[in-house]
Amino acid sequence: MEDFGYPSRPGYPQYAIYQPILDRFLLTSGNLDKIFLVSDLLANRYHTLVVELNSAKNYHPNLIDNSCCENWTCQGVLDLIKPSSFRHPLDISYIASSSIVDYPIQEEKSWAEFLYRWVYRIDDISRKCVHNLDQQIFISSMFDLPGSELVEYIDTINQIKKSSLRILFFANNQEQADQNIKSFFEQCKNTIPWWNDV
Amino acid sequence: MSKIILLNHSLLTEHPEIMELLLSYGSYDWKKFFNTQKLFIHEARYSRTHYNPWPFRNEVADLFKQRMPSFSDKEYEFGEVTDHRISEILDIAEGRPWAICWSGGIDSTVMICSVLKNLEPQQRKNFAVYCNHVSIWENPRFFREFVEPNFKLIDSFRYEKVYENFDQYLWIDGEPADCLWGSAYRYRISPQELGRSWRSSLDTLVSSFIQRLTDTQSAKWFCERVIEDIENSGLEIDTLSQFTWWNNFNTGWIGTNFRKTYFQNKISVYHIMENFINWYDNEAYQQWSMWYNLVLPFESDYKKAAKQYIFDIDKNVYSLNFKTKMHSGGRKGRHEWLAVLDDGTYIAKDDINTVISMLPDHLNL
Repeated sequence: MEDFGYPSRPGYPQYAIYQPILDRFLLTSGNLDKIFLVSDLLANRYHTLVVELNSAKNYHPNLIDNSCCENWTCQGVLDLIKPSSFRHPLDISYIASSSIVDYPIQEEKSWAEFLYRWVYRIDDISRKCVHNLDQQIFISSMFDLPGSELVEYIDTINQIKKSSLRILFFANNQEQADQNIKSFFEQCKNTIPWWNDV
Repeated sequence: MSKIILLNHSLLTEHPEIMELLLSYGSYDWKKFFNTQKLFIHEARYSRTHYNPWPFRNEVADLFKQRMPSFSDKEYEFGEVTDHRISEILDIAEGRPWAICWSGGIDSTVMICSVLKNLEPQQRKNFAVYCNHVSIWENPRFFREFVEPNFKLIDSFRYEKVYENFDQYLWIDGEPADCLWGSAYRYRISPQELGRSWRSSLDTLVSSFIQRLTDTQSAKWFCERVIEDIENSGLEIDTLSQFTWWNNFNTGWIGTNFRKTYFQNKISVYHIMENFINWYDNEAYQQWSMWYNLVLPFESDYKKAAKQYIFDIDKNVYSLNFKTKMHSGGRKGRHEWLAVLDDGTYIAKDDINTVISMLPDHLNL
């Protein structure tokens, strides 16, 4: 995995996805929005919590990244999972090494990484599709301009994003999901005239 | 002349006039009683055995068949009891369609699995599932494969909707499942410790979640009341897990079963209890619970038998291995009553004078 899950700049927070039953981290990232989205996408398998690693008393940069996060767990996370726990990153007391369990952890970690890669890719595509349109999008939300193709275009991009995430949410096989999204993107070429450019 | 049979304990403390009346009964330690109310997520604390360690009379246990059955010492199996529950509810329904309250959690998913397993599509064709986005989020795959294709959906975003459609369905709720399982997880005692004798682990008990929700003195006082209750139960309650189970099974049961009545004060409580069935409130489940908690060794995998029952239907390995207890997102609303009377009516939440005039007769002092 190319993204080791460090913060984008020194001193910025580092987040992690914690699986409470496996009692270990599955992914780390410096991007809160992205890591929450991966946590949401994992919910079709199981529920995970997003924690802020630097809230741990023994945190230091370079302690955990995506090459080793599955060997670590945390102490002091919630005793009872509440739906509201899933909407903000939780503080933890300590980071500790995780115990050995009789479960194919790597498969779960690999799935989280797979989702993470696609979350970045989908976001990248949609950002490129609306590149340089920020001012136009703002003006279109302020005025009801007649027959603006821009609104329709933005709707289409949002639909593409939603459909791709839906494929990921319901998928249980990486190869199959890869194939499904790629063939879906093929169809999108007909909807977005300059798709090939992104 | 009517009398109070049920009090909303958590609302009492909001009214200084009511507290003043109770404190005039100086012999009772009301402060510790109310300090420990937070230990009960449901708003009433009544014993359902003939020994009553709490300060309010528990006639409600007789009026609504809430007494604990005698332990038959016969082995019960969770799956058999769950399959059998269907025929009991069919008898109660008398042909009415069911509205099943589904939170997405383990207990309510068991109910849906039992319906799908034991009833033909023709028998359940008009059944509805009452759920919302949080329910779906809790178990998306089950919703997609089993709920959506088989049931009409009623949005449970507002709990009042139950009462807007009340007589159209027989409503089925997943209460009081947590009282059957014991919910030892709430005490935040490690699984290893839960198997130990409570007699030699009183410090663990006091320092568990009891103390975290109150203060040390109140926590000790509370444990003494439960011990009193256990010693009068006639059952062999030895371990910490059995201690915590007993507290929920005896004292949490009634409050949990009446929980659905709190959000209105118009429909007779008798009508609500007849038309809104608590799936797990029957003799067989209670016998199973006593067998499971008193005879079988402590099982650290919470609600394992229920998860296995679900797995037999949905074949979802993730759900079997990873599904855990979550704080239910359902049933939010404003409490509308301070007390329930034996004629089925209510004393509204702001009618303090009526409560004050009737409260002395409800005291068990």
